[in-house]
Amino acid sequence: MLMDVQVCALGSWTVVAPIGELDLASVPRLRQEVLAALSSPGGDVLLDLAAVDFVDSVGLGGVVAVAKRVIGAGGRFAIARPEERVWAVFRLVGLDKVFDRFDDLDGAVAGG
Amino acid sequence: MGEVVLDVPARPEYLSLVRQVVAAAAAVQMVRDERIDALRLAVSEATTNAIESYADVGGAASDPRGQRIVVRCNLDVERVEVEVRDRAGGIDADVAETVVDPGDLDDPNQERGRGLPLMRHLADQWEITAGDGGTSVRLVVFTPWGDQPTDD
Repeated sequence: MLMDVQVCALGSWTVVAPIGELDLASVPRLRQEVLAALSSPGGDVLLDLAAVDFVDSVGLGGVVAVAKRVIGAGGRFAIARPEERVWAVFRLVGLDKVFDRFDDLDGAVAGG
Repeated sequence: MGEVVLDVPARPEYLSLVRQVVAAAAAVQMVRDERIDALRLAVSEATTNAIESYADVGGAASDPRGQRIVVRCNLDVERVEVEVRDRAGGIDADVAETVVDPGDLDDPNQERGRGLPLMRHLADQWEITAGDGGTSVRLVVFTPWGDQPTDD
C-alpha cells in the first residue's frame, strides 16, 4: 500500500519520495507524480526510497519506467537512501548496477 | 499442520493484505526473517500474476464478482507452503520450464518479465499447475527445522 508521495526541490534535483510499498497498486501513482515533476524539461529526479519498505517486480518495473522517462527527457535520475531489504531486490535482478545511488540526500546534492 | 485461507477480490489494492497475512502466517512457524522476506516477495509476484491474468480472460471469469484469488497457507513444523489460485488462464505451465535466473534477463532495463524469475529464485520449491479451471502457483519455504532442498 502506498500511503503518500512527497515531492520537493533540493538543489538541482526534484526529490520524489514515495511512502509505503511499490507494487501493482502503487506504481501508477508513482508514475503520475514523477511525470508531474517533469513539467520542466530536463528536470533531474532523485527517487528517495527511505520510506519504502517493500518493492516487487512491478515496483522495479515502475522505477525503470520513470527512469527512462526522466533520462529520455534529458534529465538525470538517481536513487537515494534505499533500505537494505529493498535494495537487495534491486541487486537480485541486477538493477543495482543500472542506477546511480546515494546513501544520503546531501551526497546527491554534492554529487550533482 | 495449521491452515490459513484468504479469499480476496483480484484487485491490486488487496496485494498488501495478502503479503501481510502470508508473512504473519510464516512467522507462526518461526521461519527466519530473510526467508519471510523471500516468501512475501514470491507471493506478491504470484498474486500479481493472478490479478493481471483476470484482465486477459473473457466469459464468466470476466464478471468482476467472480474475479477472486484464494491464497492457502499450510503451516508445518518443517515447511510453509503457500498456494495462490485463480480462476483465470494466467500462466502457461510450460513457461515454468524456461524461467531464467532474475539476474540473467536479456535486458536489465526491461520493465516487465521479472515475476517468474523472482518466484523461482526466492522459493525453496515452486510449481505451477494450469488447467481450464485456472492457475495454481505453489510456493514452499523451509523452516529452520525443515530439510534443505538439493534443487528447485
